[in-house]
Amino acid sequence: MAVIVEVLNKQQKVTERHKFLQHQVRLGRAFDNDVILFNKHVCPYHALLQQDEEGYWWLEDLSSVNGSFVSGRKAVVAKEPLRSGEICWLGEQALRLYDDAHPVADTLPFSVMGQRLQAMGHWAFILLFALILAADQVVEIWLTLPKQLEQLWPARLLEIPRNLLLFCIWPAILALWSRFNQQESHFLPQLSLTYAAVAASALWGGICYWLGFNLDGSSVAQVVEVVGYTVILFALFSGNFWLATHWSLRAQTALALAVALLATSGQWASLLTPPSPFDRSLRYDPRILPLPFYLGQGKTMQQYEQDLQQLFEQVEQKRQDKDKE
Amino acid sequence: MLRKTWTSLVLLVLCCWSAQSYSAAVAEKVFADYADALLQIKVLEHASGAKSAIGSGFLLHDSDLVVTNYHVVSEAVLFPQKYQLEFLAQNQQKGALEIVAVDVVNDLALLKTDYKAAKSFQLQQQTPVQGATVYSLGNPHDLGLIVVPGTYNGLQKHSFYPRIHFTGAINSGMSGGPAVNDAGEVIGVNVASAGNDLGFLVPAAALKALLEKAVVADLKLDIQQQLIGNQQRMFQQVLEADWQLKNFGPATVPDEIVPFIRCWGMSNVEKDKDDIKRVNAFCNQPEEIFLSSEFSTGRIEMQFEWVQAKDLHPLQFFRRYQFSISQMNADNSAGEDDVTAFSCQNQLLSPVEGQHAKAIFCIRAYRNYPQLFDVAYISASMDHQQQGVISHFTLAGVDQQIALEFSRKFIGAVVWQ
Repeated sequence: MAVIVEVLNKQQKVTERHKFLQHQVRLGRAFDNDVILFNKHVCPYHALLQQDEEGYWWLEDLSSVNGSFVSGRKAVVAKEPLRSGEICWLGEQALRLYDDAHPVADTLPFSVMGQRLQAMGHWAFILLFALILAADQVVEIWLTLPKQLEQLWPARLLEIPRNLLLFCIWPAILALWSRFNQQESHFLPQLSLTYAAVAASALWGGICYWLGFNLDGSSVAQVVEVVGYTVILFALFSGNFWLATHWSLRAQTALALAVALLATSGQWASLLTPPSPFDRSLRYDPRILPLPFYLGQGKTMQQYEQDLQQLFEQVEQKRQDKDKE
Repeated sequence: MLRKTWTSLVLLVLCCWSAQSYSAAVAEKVFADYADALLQIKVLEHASGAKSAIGSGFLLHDSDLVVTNYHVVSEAVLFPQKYQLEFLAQNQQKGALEIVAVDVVNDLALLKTDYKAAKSFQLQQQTPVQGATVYSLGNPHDLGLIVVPGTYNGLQKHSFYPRIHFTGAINSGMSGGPAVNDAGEVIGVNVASAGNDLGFLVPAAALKALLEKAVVADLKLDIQQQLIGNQQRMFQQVLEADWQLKNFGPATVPDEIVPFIRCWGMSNVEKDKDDIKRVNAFCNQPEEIFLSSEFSTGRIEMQFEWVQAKDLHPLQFFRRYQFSISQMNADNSAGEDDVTAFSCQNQLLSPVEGQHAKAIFCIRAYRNYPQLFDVAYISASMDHQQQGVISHFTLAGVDQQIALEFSRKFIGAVVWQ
């Protein structure tokens, strides 16, 4: 019966895997060992793995300088039994032992979601999202740059590739993180996902601008806007975690939601906190577009005055409510 | 001929000399006679015992009443548990003061004292003539009592509130002191300074009215009624006036609709490079009613901006146009305990068939003076792709009816031709 010895790093991720058919495996830094270890605190001839007649494996310490330990950090005085799947330490070097009958986890099937996310890594998608992003920024410059500052166009346009590069940082971090966890880095899908989310935010911003103008800056429009941004970020982070981790779906969703709420917390806070009377500047929605963009009808003076009367009643109510406190 | 000129010159010099020495002599006499009836008023904080405000005051008639400015004693009026009043006489005598009545509109306060002076001030019965010498008495910057001779220059022009224009230096701390004529009769109460020997006095008539007023139990309620009464008087004039409209770019806007509202204007039209031309007009009634150190009211302000673009796409124009309506501020200062937060209403308004404007209307209520509100309004016309007119007003301390009537008249006055 064969034995499998796994060499683990500090995070207990497998770095080497050896399979032996013999009954004795020598462990240490010397080159004539069966498993040659790198760790400086391991002795040249540190320990021995030995199978007894009944088929059980034992870890025997060869009077090493830094000692050997079994599960529970129990020091090995002479020798200690090791079961399949158990971790032991030579000094601080972790090893795991399996016998070849040890069960393995079920095969992870390809998921539709995972495949779609990976398909997003195609360069055509990345290019499409990057173009949407660039177009949005060009429109913003066109809308805001005054004629007398026309010479600033090249400088402003150069910000676009810079911004596109900046948005590479997040997928790069995710890719490194995956790599670190010995998973596929998925950099291109992550990049595509990030660009898609930023492009969606830009488009959503445009839609909300129009919506806010049409709903007369009502709080509904503001809530819809912030909810939209939160949903976009939630989708982004869910995709990110799907690609970068093998956590359970629930853990991924919970973390993605938490991070999305954290990222939009400023907007939520300004939406939910009441305005301060110390604030001399007034809070209202000044968004305005040319008249054809307005779908409704303008209010007549009579309707307007009725609305103002309601406003006075509301404010009077507020004054009285505060008095009661 | 030469001799005549010499004689007249000598006479002129003599006249000036004697006038100057005469005025100095009178000042000395007034001061000597009345120094006794002049008091320094201190507002002391109970907790620390330190003074938080100082001003001047004077004994009137042979009663036990001391006159000063409301703004000197406002803290003791509004927070009687926290502050107390104390006087300091010329002979270093100290004592407590009690508030009897206030007039926030004319910035006057009457206090009761047990202090007795040999001679107290009397009110002058007739108005002085323009150019008459007036002596302002007070205690500037806590430096001791002084007398400042100056000139009576009639009532301040373009002011809703009657104020005597006094040419002479009134400094901080002299507030509440009397301004008297040669005979030592009070013609007004020192109230404000605009620097450079430009001072203002509350006329004796306002003081007389306050003296004749019945005693009130609740000072805060009385202040509220004074504010309501005052804004009704002011807006009656504003709303009943036949508003003079002036051409403002493609529209008409209100001009100096009543004598106490003054207008100014400016533009950037000479800057050829700008893709947006802006013309601004600004009107206001700048005089505030002091309620406390962080709360004032009573101003009216109107502002207009004509924004005109050349060769801009409508979307480009409206983005720049939006900037002009994005920052609206309250015109008066107020603390957290004085007012509620502003609530705004945002609407697309069509006041006349075929004309559209985005209108934002914000109000806040006065916590301690029910029925009174601060109002801020801004609107941007939307019927043109390359130009627009922004109209804005703020009213401080008005009731609902006046706010609505003023808005109606204002919106009706800003019309495209």
